[in-house]
Amino acid sequence: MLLFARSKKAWLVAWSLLFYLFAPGFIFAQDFSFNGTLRGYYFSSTRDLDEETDIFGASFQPRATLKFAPYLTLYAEMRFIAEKPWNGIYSSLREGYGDFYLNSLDFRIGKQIIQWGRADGINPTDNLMPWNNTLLFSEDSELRSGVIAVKANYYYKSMTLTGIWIPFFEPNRFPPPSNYHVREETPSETLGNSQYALKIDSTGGKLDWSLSYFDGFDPAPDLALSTTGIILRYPRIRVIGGDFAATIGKFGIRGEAAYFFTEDMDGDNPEKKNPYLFYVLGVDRTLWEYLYLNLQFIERVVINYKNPLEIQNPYLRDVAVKGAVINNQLDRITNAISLKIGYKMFHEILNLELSGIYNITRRDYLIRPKISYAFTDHLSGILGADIYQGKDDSLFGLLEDNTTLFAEIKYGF
Amino acid sequence: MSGNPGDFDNLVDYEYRRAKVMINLTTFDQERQREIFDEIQDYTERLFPKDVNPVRSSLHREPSTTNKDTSLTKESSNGVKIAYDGVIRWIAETNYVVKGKIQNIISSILIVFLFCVIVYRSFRLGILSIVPLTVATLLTFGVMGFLGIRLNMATAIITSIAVGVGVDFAIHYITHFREEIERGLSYRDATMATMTSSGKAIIFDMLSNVLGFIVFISSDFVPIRDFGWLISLTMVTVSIGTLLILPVLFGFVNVKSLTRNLKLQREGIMTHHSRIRWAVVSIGLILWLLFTFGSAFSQELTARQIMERNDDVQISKDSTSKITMKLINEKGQERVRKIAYFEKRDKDDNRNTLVKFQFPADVKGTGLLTLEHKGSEDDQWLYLPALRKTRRISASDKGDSFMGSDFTYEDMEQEDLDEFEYKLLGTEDINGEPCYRIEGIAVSESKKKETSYSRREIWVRKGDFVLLKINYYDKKGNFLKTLTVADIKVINGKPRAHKIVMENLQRRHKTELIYEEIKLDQGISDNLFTERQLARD
Repeated sequence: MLLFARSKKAWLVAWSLLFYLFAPGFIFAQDFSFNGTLRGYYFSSTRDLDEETDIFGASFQPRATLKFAPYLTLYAEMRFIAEKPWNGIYSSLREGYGDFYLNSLDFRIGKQIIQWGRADGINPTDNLMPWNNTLLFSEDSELRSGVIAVKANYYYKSMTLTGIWIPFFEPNRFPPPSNYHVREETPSETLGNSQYALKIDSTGGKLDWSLSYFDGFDPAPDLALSTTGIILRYPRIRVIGGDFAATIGKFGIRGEAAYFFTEDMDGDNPEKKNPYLFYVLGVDRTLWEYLYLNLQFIERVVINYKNPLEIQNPYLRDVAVKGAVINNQLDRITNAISLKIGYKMFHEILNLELSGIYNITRRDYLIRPKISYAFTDHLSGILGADIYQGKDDSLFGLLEDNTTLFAEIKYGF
Repeated sequence: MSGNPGDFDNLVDYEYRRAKVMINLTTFDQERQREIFDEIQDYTERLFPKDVNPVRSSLHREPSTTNKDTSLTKESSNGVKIAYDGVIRWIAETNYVVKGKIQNIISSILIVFLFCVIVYRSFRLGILSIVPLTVATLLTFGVMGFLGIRLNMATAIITSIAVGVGVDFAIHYITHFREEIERGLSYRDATMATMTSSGKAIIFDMLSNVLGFIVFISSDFVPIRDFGWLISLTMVTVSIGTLLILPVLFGFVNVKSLTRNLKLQREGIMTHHSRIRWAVVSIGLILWLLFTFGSAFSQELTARQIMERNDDVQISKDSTSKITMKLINEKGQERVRKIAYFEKRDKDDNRNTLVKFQFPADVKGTGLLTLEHKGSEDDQWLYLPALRKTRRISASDKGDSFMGSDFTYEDMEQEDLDEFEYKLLGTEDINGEPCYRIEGIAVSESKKKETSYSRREIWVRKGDFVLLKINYYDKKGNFLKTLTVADIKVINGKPRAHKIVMENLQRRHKTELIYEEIKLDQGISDNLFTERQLARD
């Protein structure tokens, strides 16, 4: 498949198709725009939990938009990454889709980013698309790549009804648990393994809200024990969710919740996730025009909880605990808070940001300070750090080795 | 130009004996256009001193009311002929119609007066007969002034009709009233009899005329629409003048003296006292007319009226434009942002706006949708293309910077005139253009709390009421920033500044807004101001 292309041959096909799709566009398109970002960066550590340090790299992300008519647009965004230690050029099609606008109906067909949820950064209903947590980018939004999907939006007044069909599954990229040989079992690419999602959304009036349903595969794997190590399995899940956003005076109020139906509804299988409720409640406020504050409370409640630390088999216990840690199921109830403080200076030329998550239950945390400065309209620089801290039985404790300083210089055109 | 002589075909003739010079005017104001025309004339006369005898153009209608010679074709002493056409001709004609109107009204009223004096063989009846039409004319001009409707070619003819219809109603009334008096009825009975016969006829006449003209108010062409309801209003005021004021005035006169019956006349010969009384009433009436006419045409507009006119100039149902925003620091270093801007007023006059960022590349595609709610917080959504998400945000404080510029949201909005008190500080030239200088101070409690300024000085150009400059003073009364506008062009009949500069003197920073492709009243759809469009490229 074009967009799952991982081999050189597949990439050749992908490039050819892209060329044949866009080349006629240059002749027939009413409007063509081409822009992108060229980036050089330094990270003091990888995000792979390995021993590699001092990573220098460069990335190039060209974006092209072809408008054939008011109702037809093609969009493509590529990504090329080269890093030292040299390991070849990583290239991918981040997004490539066609938009078709009808009277009250919009279609988007192709590889596309679909992010759900009105909470900030932590979104219980955002399960349609994978994360690649190993990429070295300063912005979280860059860790997402599209999935191949057909999406239809039907608009009626302030309501939008969305239907999505995702034929293939793409898992999260997450640093593998150490000390084990890891094998991945992804669902086979059959029609029966298609994923579906429905959402009804209202944006307007005094309250924005949505209700959603997703039937697909969990991009975060279950960890199962095998004779040779660990198997990463991606179970089928169904998720009912909803969110809202409103403003009360100068405060923005947001909330998002989802209930996950997993393959282990009774909670008997330690190698599979239990059903759980996951919600976020947040408030934000801008003070004195330039100071932005955002505070969120996060809670996960595991249904039919059984403590994995009580498993007798030490191998199974170790794997179940690791699985529970990365999936936030080690405790029956996990509470966390997130905070983001942003300050804009000199007509938004200098931006200071401090964000972090503190897990109240396991007392682990992530702190992320960041400074960005726009040298010109095209050129900007970013300095920052990801600081993970926690015990071994906590998520951020597990990621301590990913603590890194980073510096980026970006040229946008 | 390619260098090919054919390039000049539109500008010069084959033998290079005639040349055409085109000048684009950026003002809609007739007075300013007149001034420009005068300046052009002065210039051409200096270049080509004119001959004593101007040559007339077949297109020409001489504007006789100005001091300048505004003949449209002239010949200089060295034989160069200069002909003016296009808008200039239109200005001259408009000028003729408008400027001549006042003299025209006065002379037509005088003619009607003389006619009535001759017909009735009575000076007093002549005076009385012009009362309704005078009242109607004054009322119509008053309403036009109050609503800011200018005297133009369509509205100028209203008063002529008022004179015609006014004297018509008055003649009907006076003739019938005199007949009743001649029949021997008392003032009271004669008034009753006239009211029930001619009075009824006048009301029916008025109603039929109003019904006939009122259809014009459905026209989309503003002058015709104004004409429709102003002429209807004139009909009503003429009939009021006839049926209410005339009977009252007859009360001051010994009515028998107005008759053609000598016996009655003798009965009604004025006593010494009644002569004095009538003289006082007549002189009072004449003085009142002179005073009201005089004041109506010479009165300065109040600060509030000037701001209302400015408001009228600024308002449009919808607008779209492309804006380049330059942020310039004290060293002259520039940051550029480009946006596409869409605006529409809904049925409740709330202003809905959609801003789409186009430059720099890292914010391209970002959108800001604002739905205004008068009297409560606005709704605002931000579309962030990096996240592919639309995010509801709390409405910005009015004093917050608009996109990091020196403009605040308060500066960008259309001000509610009722929330301010305006004072006319005098007149002053801005870049050689005469302006009203007005002080604006917030008076409503909500605005006092919300505004970032203790006061503003506003310069509004005379004639077209376009805002040329604002000085802002902070809450402590210190001079904070100054706004100036330039490159004013007329779009759909409305003057629009294509360059606005806001300079913050305290921060030593300035922002330039350069407008391109301004389009007004295009009938853009309400659907543009939805989340669906906000998220679209």
